[in-house]
Amino acid sequence: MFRKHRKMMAYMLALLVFTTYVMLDTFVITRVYGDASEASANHAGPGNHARPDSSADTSGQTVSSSNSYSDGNISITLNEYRENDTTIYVADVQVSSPEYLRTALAYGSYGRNVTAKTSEIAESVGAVLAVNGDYYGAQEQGYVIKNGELYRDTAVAGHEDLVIYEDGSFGIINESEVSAQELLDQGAVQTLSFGPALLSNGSITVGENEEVGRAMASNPRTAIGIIDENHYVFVVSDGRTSESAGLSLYELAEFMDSLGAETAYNLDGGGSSTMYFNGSVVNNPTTGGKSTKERSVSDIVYIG
Amino acid sequence: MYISDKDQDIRKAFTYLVISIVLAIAGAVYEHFSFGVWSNFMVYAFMIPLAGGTLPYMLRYLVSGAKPRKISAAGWVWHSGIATLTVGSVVHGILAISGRPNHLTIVYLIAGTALLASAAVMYVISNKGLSEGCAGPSAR
Repeated sequence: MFRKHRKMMAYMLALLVFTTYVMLDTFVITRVYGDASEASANHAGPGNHARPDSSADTSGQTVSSSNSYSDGNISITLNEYRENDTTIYVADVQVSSPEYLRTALAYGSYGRNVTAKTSEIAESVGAVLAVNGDYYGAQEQGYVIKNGELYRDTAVAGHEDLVIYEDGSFGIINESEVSAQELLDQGAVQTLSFGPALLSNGSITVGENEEVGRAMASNPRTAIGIIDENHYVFVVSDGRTSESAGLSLYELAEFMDSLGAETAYNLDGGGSSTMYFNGSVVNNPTTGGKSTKERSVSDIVYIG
Repeated sequence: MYISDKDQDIRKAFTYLVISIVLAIAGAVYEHFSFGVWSNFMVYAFMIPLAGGTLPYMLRYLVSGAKPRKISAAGWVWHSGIATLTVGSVVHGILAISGRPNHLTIVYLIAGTALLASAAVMYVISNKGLSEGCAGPSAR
């Protein structure tokens, strides 16, 4: 029987080997294509980020508690909301300059399957506040601009990106309509390529039945929005648990709208959704809903 | 060598049917645990062995009956093509659900299509040779 079918068995073996390679290439094999340049490198934030549990400093220096942080340039207030059977964490951020709104790559390196926990990346760059980013490393296409440096310029037709410009303003662009180099020329310092856009010019831009990757369920979510000049909101919701059901994209958009955001963008959600503040993870990241565990991600957005 | 494949066709059709059913169930279970994310490649992967295996073998059984057919390599090439497309569809579905596409999945489509096309050509040539060479002693 084996002699009769040996050609087919040999082919099936080759098919198995190739399939194994594809899965390893997708999920396991690390490929580093470059390191963040010195100019745009993950830098340690201002060195005076004292983060005691509770402290009051009447000299106007750093004041930090479990739900607030303030120094001469950064002011963050953390609040918890309860909407749609879901706990939502909102960090209201005001900065003196948009230079304090940055992104960071896992291990300071650009590549595929180069990942680390949001809290680890945040700690490595001295972030006061951080959320997971767009997980650029899971995709093979889509613009990647981090801290003014272009890492990938292959467009995904029709894909919406969030662009953060050097003046701190937000913009929603379509990768079919503008190149990555043009964005750089226009002053873009960050692109986030996950989506979709939730709000643009104060209007909800996501449909009630729209979802990411054909997901029609409520999930943990991460989003970022701008309220006005140098005034941002970082939002993370729990989900997939009995305590928190999670949000649909439309519910997330409505919530961002209720916060007063003018432009808001959906970042990687599900098990990736993580908010780090003052040295600890404040939400309950989970992939399957059975245990709280941070997922390793390829990048973060942070204040620091 | 010429041999009746009537029973073989039924067996192969049934085997492909079982594979299709297993794929349909496996796909449904996978998507049940995918937090509402689904992929058409995963949902409809079972259609490949169903349409590419069960259906043609059943049709050949019904149309050709006990007509002698030459054993050729077209059979295993066809099976390999169906397997390639099916595995490719499942892999593409898994990657789509995980949100991590991989350009390598195009290889499944190219290889599977090439194998099916080759098998079809081999089958036609093989059976053309059969019809020309088996006219029987009375033709001479």
